[in-house]
Amino acid sequence: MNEKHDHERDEIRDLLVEAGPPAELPEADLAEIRKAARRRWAEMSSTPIFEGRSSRVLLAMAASLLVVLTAVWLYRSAGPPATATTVATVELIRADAEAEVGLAAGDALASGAELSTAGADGSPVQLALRMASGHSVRLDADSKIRLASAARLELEWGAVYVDSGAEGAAFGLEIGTPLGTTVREIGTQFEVRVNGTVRVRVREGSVTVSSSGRTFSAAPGEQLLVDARGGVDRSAVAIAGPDWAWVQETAPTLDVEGRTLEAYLRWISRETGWRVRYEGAELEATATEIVYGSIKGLTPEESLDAVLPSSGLDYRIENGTLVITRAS
Amino acid sequence: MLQGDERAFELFSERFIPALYRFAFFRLNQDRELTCDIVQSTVCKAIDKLSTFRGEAAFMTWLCACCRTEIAMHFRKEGRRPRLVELSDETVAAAGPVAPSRPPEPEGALLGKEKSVLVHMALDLLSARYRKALAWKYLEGLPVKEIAVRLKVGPKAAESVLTRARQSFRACYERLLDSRVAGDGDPDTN
Repeated sequence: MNEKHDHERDEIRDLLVEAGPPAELPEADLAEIRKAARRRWAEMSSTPIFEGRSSRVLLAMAASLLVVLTAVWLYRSAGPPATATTVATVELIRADAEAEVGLAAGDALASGAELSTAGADGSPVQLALRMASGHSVRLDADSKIRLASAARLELEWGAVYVDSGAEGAAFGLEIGTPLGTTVREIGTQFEVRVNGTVRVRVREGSVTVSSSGRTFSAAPGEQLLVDARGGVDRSAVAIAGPDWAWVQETAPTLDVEGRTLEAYLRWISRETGWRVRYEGAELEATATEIVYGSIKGLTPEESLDAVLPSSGLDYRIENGTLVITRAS
Repeated sequence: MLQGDERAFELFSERFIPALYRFAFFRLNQDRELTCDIVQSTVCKAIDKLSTFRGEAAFMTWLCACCRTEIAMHFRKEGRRPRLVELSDETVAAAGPVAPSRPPEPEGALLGKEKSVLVHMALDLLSARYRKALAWKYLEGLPVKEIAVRLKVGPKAAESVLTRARQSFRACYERLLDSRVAGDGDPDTN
């Protein structure tokens, strides 16, 4: 027993002697970090953990009453407050640092709300909403949409992207357009763009497009272009690539903390349209590794450079496939 | 800390922040300004996410994993990647980013440095009393009698303090070693 203790004592002595005296850490730096930590901790501990901005329901506000400092955002709700119901929550706003935005992540939106990303000062603004049904709805810059109800959006101009989620949403979402064309989703990811014509591009699942009394369906990798006279042109479209870049930019941040690498990569795949492949069977074992930290502020593609190195991995993109490789 | 316990915050502030600083300082090639920024950002984000810490990983391991992600994000934003130094499998882990301006160091030197960082991080995680006792004993070579005087206790109590200090040090060091926090391995899946 004593021998064991002596051995352990010697080991610790050897470790400490070999390492030498620890370098003094700069006290000024530590003080600065501690100060910031205390401030953050004080903010956190004075706020109930489950109290979020989502409790703020912005109901039926007249545009003139809204605090929109530079009118980047127009936000209106129609209908009497008593009957308005929350149909969506603002999940992400992407705007220039200088842009004044009249909404914040977590704000709830009532039926009848109108959102415009056509900034008065030209600042590009994009946003992501989470519908009560579970759909992720993204609005590209220079677009205008009305949340008619929890199940129907009316796109006046610009582009909207809808993702019903891997598990599917509670019910299908319908997108109305000024041309009378209506797009109905059937568990899918798709984009509708209104610009004199109505362009519908499907990334996953399927949608039906009704125009001039006729109904068409579109499958993944298909695009339907509906002109002002109701003519429909069908063509092929890539499900990943630069044309979908704006969708990535408006992807709500995934809270990666504690998720498996596999779950993270599923999210990447869903947001980018890339298939995921591991280079070599042994790398597939990394799928169960846990991811730590935050990727807040990064697009899905950007986050790869933050997350994969932490697991000793790297990647390359090959013909629409994200290939996971061992870091060199 | 989640419940607003001041003592818990003090523990975090006095032990974990220095250890994390040392971890980042090594990985960022002793860039003091960058280390300060990265550690501050990591610590604030970690506080925000305290409720998600599941306790399966040692707290220091979790902090280091968050810090590694923060470092990777920094280099991603800077448009470059940290240069990783490959070491052999027998080593505790791979070393962190090394500034391109510096010539590559011999593997042995890196290993020694890395081990030293782990030892010093383990010391940071100890109470000041234990940390001082170990330093007096093994780095300054003071006799127990002298250590007892400095600790303001009797020789037997000083022996006891040293024993507990060694036990605490060993526990911290082995945990850091097992979770390979100094390197790039995922902390809890090894």
